[in-house]
Amino acid sequence: MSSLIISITSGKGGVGKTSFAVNIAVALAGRGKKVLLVDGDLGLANVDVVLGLNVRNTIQKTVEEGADPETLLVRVSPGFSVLPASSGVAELANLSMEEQAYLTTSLEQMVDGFQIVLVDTAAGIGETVLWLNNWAKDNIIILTPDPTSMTDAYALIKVLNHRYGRDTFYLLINNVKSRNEGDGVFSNLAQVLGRFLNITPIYLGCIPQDASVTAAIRKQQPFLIGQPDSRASRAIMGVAERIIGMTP
Amino acid sequence: MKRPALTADIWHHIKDIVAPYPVRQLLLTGDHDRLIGLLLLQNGRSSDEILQTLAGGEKGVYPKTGERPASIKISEVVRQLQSLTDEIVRLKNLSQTDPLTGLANVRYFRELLATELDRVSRTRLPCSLLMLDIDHFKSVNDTYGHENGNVALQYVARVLKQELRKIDVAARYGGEEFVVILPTTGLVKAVEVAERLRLAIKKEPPVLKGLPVTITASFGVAMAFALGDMTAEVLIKMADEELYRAKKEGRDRVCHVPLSRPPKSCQVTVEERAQLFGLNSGKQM
Repeated sequence: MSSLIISITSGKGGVGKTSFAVNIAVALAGRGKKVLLVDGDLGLANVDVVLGLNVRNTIQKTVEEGADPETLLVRVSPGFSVLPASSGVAELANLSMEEQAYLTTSLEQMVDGFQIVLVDTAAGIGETVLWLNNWAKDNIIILTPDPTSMTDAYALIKVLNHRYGRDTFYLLINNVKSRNEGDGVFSNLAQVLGRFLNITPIYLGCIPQDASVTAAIRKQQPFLIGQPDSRASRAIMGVAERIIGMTP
Repeated sequence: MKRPALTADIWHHIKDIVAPYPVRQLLLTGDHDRLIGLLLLQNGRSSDEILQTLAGGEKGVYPKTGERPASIKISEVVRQLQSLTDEIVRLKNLSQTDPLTGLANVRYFRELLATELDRVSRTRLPCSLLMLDIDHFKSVNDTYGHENGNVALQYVARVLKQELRKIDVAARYGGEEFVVILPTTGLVKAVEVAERLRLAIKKEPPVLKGLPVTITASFGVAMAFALGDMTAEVLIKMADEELYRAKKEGRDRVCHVPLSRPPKSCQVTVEERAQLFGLNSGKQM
């Protein structure tokens, strides 16, 4: 089975990347998809802390000792598993190319049983971020209407395009005041991408500002579960439909 | 006539021919006549020939109703399979081999490289490509004659065959130029291999017109590794550019693409920034 492997990345930190990743994973699992969330952010080790997960092994150790890579996965709910950052995902980029190639094979094996694999990367454009983005088959770039977020998103797309020749990017605008604002940010960025990099991005939609989101983050709970009827949750469900449309 | 063993390789060809028919099942159930029929039919034999073969031209192939197939019939099946597959293997080899050196020809090389690059994008395992060219081959030809030029080409081909692993593919790319596909091999290892080949070619000079003549070669090395759109053309071009560099820098050496690609500037230019924030809208388009 070939799975959809999508990175969720932003350039700038604090734009709601991990929150989006967790909620979209919950939404996709809720729509009956088998979802794996790969936490590529070792610096903060977000996902496993948020979900209170406990990890015993690393990818490298698994390969060296021949253990079943499946033991690395943590099952959150029947359709939703997590591969925590502390399992060594984020360290992959710092290995030699041969080691990378070898370990990637075990990653690919793990991924095989899932229909949708989401890779939550760290912020910035460091080696690990670039490597994970290039490993993923598709890239979702998440940004807010904030100028620095737009610039960083643009810079990330530019470097992925220059370095790896990648040219398909899905844009998600987070934290917008209105749909109009989100659409405006997208079309502006799309214009610049088209003009300077000859890239036509794909619009995944926008997520509105929502007080219930902030409340859920404080409670360390996906807002999709806490406030399923909020505007943000409805927007997430819409994005989930679009992602399901991408499945082969 | 000596018969080659029914190797896994030959089996592979047989399966190719009769797919989608359940050969194994036909063999196991003893339905050998149908099996041979399928094989013959798919190899372009006329239905008359097939009927003749099945109707007793070959004793024992056609079991009487209710009769258990005896072992002699199985060996007959095997013989037929072998003569067919021998022919297939022979034709396949002919269409894939460079007659002078016995290495793969360009056409087959391109086919294999495309398959390897598919594997690279599927498995994210690297694959390297060596390109080598005999140094001053024109003067070898001019001094010792074309016959001896051919001997030099065959000599290099022999060294390649001796030094490479089973999974590697060496091909004659044209003239005095050769290519080697190194599957699941990263750049560092590929450069080592190239260096080893370079030394091996120099080591035992072939005898041309009664004289040992030292042959050297220049190498270019490139690697495909989980890149978005790495095509065969791009990879060949990269290796070729490195080979050109090796020639220019004095020959008898290995040049390769940088070990880690230097990151291109990802700085957002003033123009890009300006348009991102719509400050420059007058200048757009």
